[in-house]
Amino acid sequence: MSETDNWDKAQPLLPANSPQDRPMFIILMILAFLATLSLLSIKSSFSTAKSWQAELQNTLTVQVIPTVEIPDAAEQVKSILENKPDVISIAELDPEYSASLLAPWLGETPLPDDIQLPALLSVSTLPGQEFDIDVLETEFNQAGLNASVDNHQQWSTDFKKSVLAVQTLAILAFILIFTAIATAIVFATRAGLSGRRMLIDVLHQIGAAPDYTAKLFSRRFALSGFKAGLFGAIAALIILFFLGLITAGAVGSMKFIPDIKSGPANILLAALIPVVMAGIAGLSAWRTVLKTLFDEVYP
Amino acid sequence: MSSHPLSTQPEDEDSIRFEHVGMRYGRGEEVLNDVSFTLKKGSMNFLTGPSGAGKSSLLKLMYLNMRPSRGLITLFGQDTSQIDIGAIPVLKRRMGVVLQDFRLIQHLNVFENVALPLRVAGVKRDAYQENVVSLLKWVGLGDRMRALPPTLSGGEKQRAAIARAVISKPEILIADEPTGNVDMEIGKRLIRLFSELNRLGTTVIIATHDLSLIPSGATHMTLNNGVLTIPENDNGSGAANV
Ligand SMILES: Nc1ncnc2c1ncn2[C@@H]1O[C@H](COP(=O)(O)OP(=O)(O)OP(=O)(O)O)[C@@H](O)[C@H]1O
Ligand SMILES: [Mg+2]
Repeated sequence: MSETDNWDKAQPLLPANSPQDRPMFIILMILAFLATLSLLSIKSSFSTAKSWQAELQNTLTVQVIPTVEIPDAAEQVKSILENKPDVISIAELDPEYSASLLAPWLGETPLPDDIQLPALLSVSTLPGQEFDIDVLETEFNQAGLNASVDNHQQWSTDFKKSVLAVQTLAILAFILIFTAIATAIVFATRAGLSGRRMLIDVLHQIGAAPDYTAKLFSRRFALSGFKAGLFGAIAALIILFFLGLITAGAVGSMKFIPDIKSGPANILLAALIPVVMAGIAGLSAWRTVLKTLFDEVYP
Repeated sequence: MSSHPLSTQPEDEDSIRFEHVGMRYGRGEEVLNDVSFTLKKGSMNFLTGPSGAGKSSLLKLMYLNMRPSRGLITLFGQDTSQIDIGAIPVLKRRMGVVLQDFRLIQHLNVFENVALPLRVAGVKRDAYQENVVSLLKWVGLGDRMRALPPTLSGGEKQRAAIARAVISKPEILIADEPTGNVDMEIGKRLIRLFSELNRLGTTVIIATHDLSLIPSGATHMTLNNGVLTIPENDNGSGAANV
């Protein structure tokens, strides 16, 4: 019968979008964007480092210097290696490629015929097997072959150190960004609540239980924390997607940029950002409302 | 409904009882000094006194906004100092409060503001919609139901605030200067509204500067510098010295 028949829904007690919250929303969105980038970079630094490490660990480089007496030294070394059970494959670097590596130092002039270029053999071995370089080199020497073996130990150690440094920095950056997010959320929640102090007081005055009010604010702030996190994370994923397209042609292992096409793991990780932000916002609002009610409204 | 003229009612016939109540803000002077009185159930009471006398402070004690620094306050027969915090919301639902600044929620329209106490109490919208509409018509806001508070006149805000205070049919209505911002004519009408509620059984206490608003038959309490006086010729239906 009444004029209110067409009022299908009650007005929300706490409207979702209020202009007073907008600046903080934008800050949180940007922070969420940065947090997503930094989180995914940490993850990709771990997986890239792991695959590089594996490549280094399971390869030996054997440099064979041919002599006038044994011109097929490389072939002999190869056959020795082929008899080792742990060797999976042996590849000889194209001599022209070796020459091109030297070009910066020697120029384009062809080498005199009597100077032989060393042959480079790349040997991949079974994972987890440690070759004793000395034993191998002695074996070559006893066969009269001039060959040296490098298992990239030095390189690998340096690599590990710099990877560790990069990862430490990335994790530190993430922790700082996330601390900023948590602080900003708590600040935003408090500011948001003090701007709505009258609503809290009125709800209390008309007999709303503290839980009712706390839930109301908690939901509302959790939702906006989630939204800010979601927008930030999606923006980060989109940017990574396009950067991934641009760098797609680069050498396979040069993956400095997190590859978001590589399965759902990255997207799930990015989804953590809005979820955690919602959690912090909801909890912070809950605590602040109850504290306000017990400290000031309940004398 | 009016209580018995002879004052030998049991304790629960008293809506509010103050015994030797003192109150101060922080470490300041006492703004209420040894105040004792009883508001009988269903009585109509006015509280007057000069500015700064302590009227608002006395009302704050009644609606559990402040605690006394000494003395005993009994609300619906319960010692307020012994009330469990969890029970306070339930007690608050039994009273309606109108403050001078109205305290309307700015982003809710008049209908929603007035329906708020029912909504908070968990009443379904279908169940309260018609009640709210008819109350709003009764206070003359029938055509302003969807207006937001900032667009209301002072008198309209006041009527909305009063409607919100009475929508859940409180047992006590506490009003602080409810006629503060309106002209004489509207002031008188609002007082008639309170009398109407009182006739339906609500205990009413109104603080006001304006002595001319007090209808005959109502109890008139006076505060001066924190000291309360109640006329001796009180007929026992309203406030009484303890
Ligand atoms: N929050 C407060 N903190 C400190 N002192 C206060 C506070 N509120 C009121 N007072 C003081 O308590 C005394 C009584 O104030 P109260 O508001 O109860 O008076 P009132 O009778 O309602 O006055 P008015 O008619 O002007 O509304 C005044 O001296 C006032 O300054
Ligand atoms: Mg006052």
